[in-house]
Amino acid sequence: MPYRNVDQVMITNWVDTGLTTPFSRYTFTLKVTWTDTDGVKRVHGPQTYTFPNDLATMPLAVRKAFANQMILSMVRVTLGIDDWEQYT
Amino acid sequence: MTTRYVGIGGDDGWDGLAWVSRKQTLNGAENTPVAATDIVYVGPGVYRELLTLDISGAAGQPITYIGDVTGEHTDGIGGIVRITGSNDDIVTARANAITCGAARTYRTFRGFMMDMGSGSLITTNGFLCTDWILEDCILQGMANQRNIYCDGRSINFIIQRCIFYISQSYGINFLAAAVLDNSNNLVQNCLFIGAGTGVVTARVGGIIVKNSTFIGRQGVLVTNALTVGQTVTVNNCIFAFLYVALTGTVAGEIVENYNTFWGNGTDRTLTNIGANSVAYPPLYNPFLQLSGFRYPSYIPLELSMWSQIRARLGSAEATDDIMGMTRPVTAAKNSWGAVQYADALRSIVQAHGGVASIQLVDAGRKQFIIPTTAINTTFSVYVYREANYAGVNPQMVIKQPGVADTTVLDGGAVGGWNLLTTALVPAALPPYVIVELVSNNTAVAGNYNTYFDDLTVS
Repeated sequence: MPYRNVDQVMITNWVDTGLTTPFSRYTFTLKVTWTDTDGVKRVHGPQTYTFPNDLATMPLAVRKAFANQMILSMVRVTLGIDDWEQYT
Repeated sequence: MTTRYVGIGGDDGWDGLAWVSRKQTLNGAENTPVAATDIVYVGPGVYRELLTLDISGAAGQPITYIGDVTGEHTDGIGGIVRITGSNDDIVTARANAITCGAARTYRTFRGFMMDMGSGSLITTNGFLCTDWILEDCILQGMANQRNIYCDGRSINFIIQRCIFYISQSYGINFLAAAVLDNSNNLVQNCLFIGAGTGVVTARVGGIIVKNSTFIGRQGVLVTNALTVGQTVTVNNCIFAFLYVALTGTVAGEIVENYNTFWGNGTDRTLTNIGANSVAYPPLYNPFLQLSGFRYPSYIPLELSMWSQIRARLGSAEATDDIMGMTRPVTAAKNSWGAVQYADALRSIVQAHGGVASIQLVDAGRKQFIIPTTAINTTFSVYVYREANYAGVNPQMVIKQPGVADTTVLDGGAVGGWNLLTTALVPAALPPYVIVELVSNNTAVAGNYNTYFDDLTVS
């Protein structure tokens, strides 16, 4: 039986159309427990971040890669390949 | 050419010219200094150091470090030869396993396990290094660190028969600050496993990736555009259970064909579809699971008898596989991916003595390890090839690491049991030989099974 699969994605023609798109902003508290290269346990936060404002320093290429993922996820759900539960 | 030795229990004050006067560290050998054509045998054990390459080899005269996993050149016992960035196997203490302080060329490393560098395990350190061969190595990467980082416009690299455990980073990263064309870098017969990306290029074109198996997050990725017209060629590979298999920056950059894509989130991004690529499941061979028993295991990610890519025409297929096993001469009998399928079964269709024999369904090899000592020993086996068998007749090959193979060819009639026998004195080390039973069948129709029975050693 055939199955649904994404064989190829051609995502092109990226154009910067400005900063005025309405987009809900969120604040949240983040705490990260991590280990440095000496094996020392460290804690970052709790610190308040704002989305998407705090993504401003993210390089464009990285922002683009994440945007690709989000757009593609939306398309996959639209095509019936995935459902949103897989992304939560 | 000078043969040098490194091993546990050595001393960097010794000359390193024999096992009994071996150096203690790889750097001890390197600093001797080594010279073009030198071979450095490194004995089994753990080397907690960062080897800095001080010397270049020359064209046709590489400097070769060999992890002596069989022990035949070193301790006579054998085992893993490990270079680690840790002093306690818990935290890292050094950045890399191998680096260099200037451009180094014609260097070869074979048979090492490397792990726990806080940086890349092998790095060219930003220098223009060329003509390296990295083979038969296992690299276990660290968080956000590349396993192999060729970041100085590297060309003529051959990376083969390696296993990469990749963190959230890259297995192999070819990087150039400005576009580098026609790099002639080759990656073949490798396994890429983990949460990162297998092969990544930034501006480096002319890379060939073939007969490799990718499982994890991403397969092959171009992060920064190549010169228009430059390519990364990908053939005979397995991309299965990945987030994204292939990603270019523009269509035509990655030229893929004769690959299988299965169970991936996305097979290709900005990559054209190869006309001969398929969407077949790899169907890897499982090991036998029975509680309380540890059966001999298959090679990880070896294909099963059900896999439709276990014998399939590819493009410019590698002549051997991840274990260095020779692949069949008939292109269409080669497996895609890193591990060549070998279809050896217990058969009751033919038997020379008793009721069963070993059946090689098609071209392939089956090996047995036989403990030996250095006394005259006779190896014999009966072979039967069916009527439509074609190509070089079946063979029994007596193999011992470090010793030339002894090959016995079936010179008897088709359709009958023929005796293959030879007598030889094995080398004292390693204390075993491999008896390899070979079908070289090239026929594609009719009956061409090969059966072996009554293997005796006396």
